[in-house]
Amino acid sequence: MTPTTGGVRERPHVIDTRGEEPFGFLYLAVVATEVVVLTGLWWFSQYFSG
Amino acid sequence: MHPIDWIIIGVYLTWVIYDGLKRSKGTDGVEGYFLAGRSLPWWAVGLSVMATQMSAITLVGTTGQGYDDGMRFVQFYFGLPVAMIILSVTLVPFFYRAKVFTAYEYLERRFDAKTRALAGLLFLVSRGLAVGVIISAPAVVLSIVLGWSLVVTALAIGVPTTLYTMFGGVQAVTWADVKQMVVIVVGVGAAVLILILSLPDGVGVGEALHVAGATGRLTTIDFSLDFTETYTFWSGLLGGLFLMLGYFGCDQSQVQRYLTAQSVDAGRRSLMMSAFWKIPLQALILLTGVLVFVFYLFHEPPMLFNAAHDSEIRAGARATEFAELETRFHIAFEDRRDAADQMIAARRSGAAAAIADTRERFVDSQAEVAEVRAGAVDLVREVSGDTAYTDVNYVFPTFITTQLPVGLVGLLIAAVLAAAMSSIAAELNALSATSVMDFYRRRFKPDATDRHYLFVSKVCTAFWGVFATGFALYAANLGSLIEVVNRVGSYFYGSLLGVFVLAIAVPRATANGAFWGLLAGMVVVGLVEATSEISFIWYNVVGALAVVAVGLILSFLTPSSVEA
Repeated sequence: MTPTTGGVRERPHVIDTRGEEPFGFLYLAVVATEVVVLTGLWWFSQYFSG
Repeated sequence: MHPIDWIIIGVYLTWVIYDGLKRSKGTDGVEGYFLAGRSLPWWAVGLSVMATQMSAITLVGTTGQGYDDGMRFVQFYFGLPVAMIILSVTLVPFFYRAKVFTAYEYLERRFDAKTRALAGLLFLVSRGLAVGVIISAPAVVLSIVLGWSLVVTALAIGVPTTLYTMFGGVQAVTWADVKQMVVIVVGVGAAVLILILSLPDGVGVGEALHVAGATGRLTTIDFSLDFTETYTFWSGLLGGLFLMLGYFGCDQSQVQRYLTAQSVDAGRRSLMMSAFWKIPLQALILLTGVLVFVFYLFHEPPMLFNAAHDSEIRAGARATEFAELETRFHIAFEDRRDAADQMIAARRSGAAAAIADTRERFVDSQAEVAEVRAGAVDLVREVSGDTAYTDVNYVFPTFITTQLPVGLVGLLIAAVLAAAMSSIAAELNALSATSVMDFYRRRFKPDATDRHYLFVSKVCTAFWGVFATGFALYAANLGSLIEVVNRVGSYFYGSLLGVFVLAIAVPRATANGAFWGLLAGMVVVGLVEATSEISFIWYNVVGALAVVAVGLILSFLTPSSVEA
């Protein structure tokens, strides 16, 4: 193994979506799920606390 | 405890150690030891990510918080799903493609050796001490609840974890995490089922939740914009976003999880598991605490859940005062139970006026119970001298050992041990990786064989395991030190996140800008903490912004280190 030496300066792309499969729909599903879960928690709170 | 419960705990510990030792056969090089040869499936890595985040104090403390304060703590995690998406398109692909062992290794490639060393050192100091606390906190609780000595509980947590992590490396850690997550989820699910089945005849779950809701315990969202409050919608969404970006993106104990995945996509998918499930799981754990509260509406709870303090005060100079509080507590409990019954009856009748009246009476009686209990906690603080003492962490373990049937007690204690061990193992593995890759190999012995590094890695894991277990025994008696350790973590995450933002998003950022920016970020957080009342969840935002601001200024004042 070759340890890094500090001699190389690397800077990546800020956004990197490259991969074997697209993740766009999965990210949308995460956001949609969070909206549903938070709405559900809000409803739960209102329903049982009221 | 019943012998069957002992057997269940024994089988669990034996199973984890045996499987961990078995995994050592597949770990014949340092890349296998720390990164599992980048071969693990996404679902195993995803469960490992979740298990690492959930320590025993999360499990025990959160249920206690649900009991005492309700579900508003769930807001702490509202920023997590978005943080996972941001990390999936930034740091995850970057770290994976850079083929690094540690997150800090990249800082040398982008900036210089001193920035890498500083970040690595901060991680070793803050997490090295924190892992002692992660052992200490459940060890103290279990020693009191089970009646074992503190040394025994600390060793029962620390020794098996160190053994399987030392011999099996990250493979053992990950596969143990998978099993431990299963034990935790099954254990919590079983507790919820028992709590529902324990409701008095004729009382439905909905009716019980309405009673709990009257005390505000089911309030899950608070839209107030108050920077001194940790648990609000905005604190969770924005402060929590930065905290989660820092924790999952810059803390080696989490970065190392997704570096073991088979591909970049597998790493991303593993984080998506937390994005989907963390908030619902946390809500379930908090709801478990609320259901414990409901259970104790109909079964008289102990005034103090910490039996050791209870006995100590009974035998001490303030026993009379304690007995008076206990009498008051008993009367208040009976009154509250009656009020709860009446409230349920009123809801069934559907009469609005009766519902409002009985609800008010129930809320008043709950306030009386809470006041007496607070008086008992104050008494403990005065007698023990521990001004920060709280009874919250003893609620769920006491419920487990005194109310659950044989078999489930063993399963739930195993779940608490599992939660502790999964976090500790990941920390030990990450501490060893940083010690070896960022310091030993980088600075002291750069040209040794792979076999040598593997040996040193195992020695480092053992060292950190022994250190953490020893520190746990020491920290158990030092409440203020524990607070200091936790505070160091909040200085660290935001500032380190700022350095990675500079590294990835600011082409002009220089090594000096990053190094001094990192130090300045922690100083700024320290000043903010000393001079304001804002909640610690915002320190991560402050730290990250301060590092980026100072780093940018210094970068424009000093020559660029980025090669075109």
